[in-house]
Amino acid sequence: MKNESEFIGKLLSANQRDEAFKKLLDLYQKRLYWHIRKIVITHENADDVLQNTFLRVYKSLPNFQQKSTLSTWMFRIAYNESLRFLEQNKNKYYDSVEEVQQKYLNNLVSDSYFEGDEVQLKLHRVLAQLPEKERQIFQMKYYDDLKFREIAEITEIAEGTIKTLYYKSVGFIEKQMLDAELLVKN
Amino acid sequence: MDSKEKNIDKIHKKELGFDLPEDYFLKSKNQILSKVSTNKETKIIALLKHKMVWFAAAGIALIFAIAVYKQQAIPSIKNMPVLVLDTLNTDKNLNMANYSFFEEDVLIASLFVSDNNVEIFVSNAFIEDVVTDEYLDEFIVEELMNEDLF
Repeated sequence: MKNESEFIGKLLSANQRDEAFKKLLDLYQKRLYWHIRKIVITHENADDVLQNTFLRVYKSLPNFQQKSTLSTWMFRIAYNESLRFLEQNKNKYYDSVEEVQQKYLNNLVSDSYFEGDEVQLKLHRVLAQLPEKERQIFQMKYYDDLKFREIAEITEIAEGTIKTLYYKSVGFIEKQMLDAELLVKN
Repeated sequence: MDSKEKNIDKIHKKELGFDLPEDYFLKSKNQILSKVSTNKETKIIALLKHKMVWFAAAGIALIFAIAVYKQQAIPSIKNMPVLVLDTLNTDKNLNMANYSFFEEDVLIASLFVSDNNVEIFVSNAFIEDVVTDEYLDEFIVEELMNEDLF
C-alpha cells in the first residue's frame, strides 16, 4: 500500500480512526474473508470469524507496533481467529482441529453456499489429504497470493520451511489430481 | 473494485465452489462497523460497572464498620457515658447503706439503651454483677483470714 505509514497514522489517531477503519475494511474485507473461508470452510463460520477479526483489529490497533506490514498483521489476526474458532468448535466429540475441519468438509455438499460440482469436491478432498500446516501454506500462497516471507510471518514458521512445504504440497496435489484425472499430463 | 479483487472472488468460486449471499460484503461491512461502535459503548458501560463494583465494596465495608461499631456500642455499665456513670456512682454511694444499688443501676442505665439491645445489656449487667459478687466474697474471706492471723 502506498503511504502505509500515513494510513497507519490515521488509524492510530483518535479523531481520524473511524474513517480510516472504514477504508481498512474496503481494502481487506474480501481478502481476509476468503483467507478465513478456506480454513473454516462454511460461509456462516467465515462470517463469524471475519467479524471477530475486524473487531480484534480495531481493538488492537493502538498496540500495533509496525514490525510487519499492516496486511501481514491483519492476515495473522485472521489466521489466529480462524484457528481459535476451530479450537472452540472442537468440543467433546473431536480430538483435533483437523477433525473439525474434516466435519465441515464432509458437510460441504449440503452447504447452501457451496456450488461446486464433482471436480471441485475432488479438489477439496485432495486438499484435505494434506497435513493441516501444508494445506494452509499452499492455500495462502496459491489462493491468497501471499509472499513466502508474509506466510512465514503469519504462521511463525521459518521461510525456508515454508518454501519446502509449499513445493512438497504442490507435488502431492499434482499427483493426486493426475490420479483423479483432474489434470492431464502434458 | 480492482481486477485483483474480482479475480479473488472468481478463483474461489471457480476452483473451490464457494459461494456467497448477495451483497454480502456490503452487509458485513455495516455489521462490523455497528459492532465496533457498540463495542465502544460497552467499554463505557464496563468502566461504569467497574466503578459500581468499587461503590458496592465501599458500601459493604461501611455496613461492616457500622455493625462492628454498633456491637461495641452496646453499653455495659462500665462504658456508659460519663454523665450516666456519675449519676450511678452518686446513687451507688447514697444507697451503699442498704446495698441495693444494682437493680436500680440497671434500671437507670437501661433507659439509655435501645429496645433491641435491652436484653443483651441486662445479660451483660448480670454477668458483671456475678463477677463483682465473686470478687467481694474473695476479698471478705481474705480480710477475715488477715484478721485471724494478726
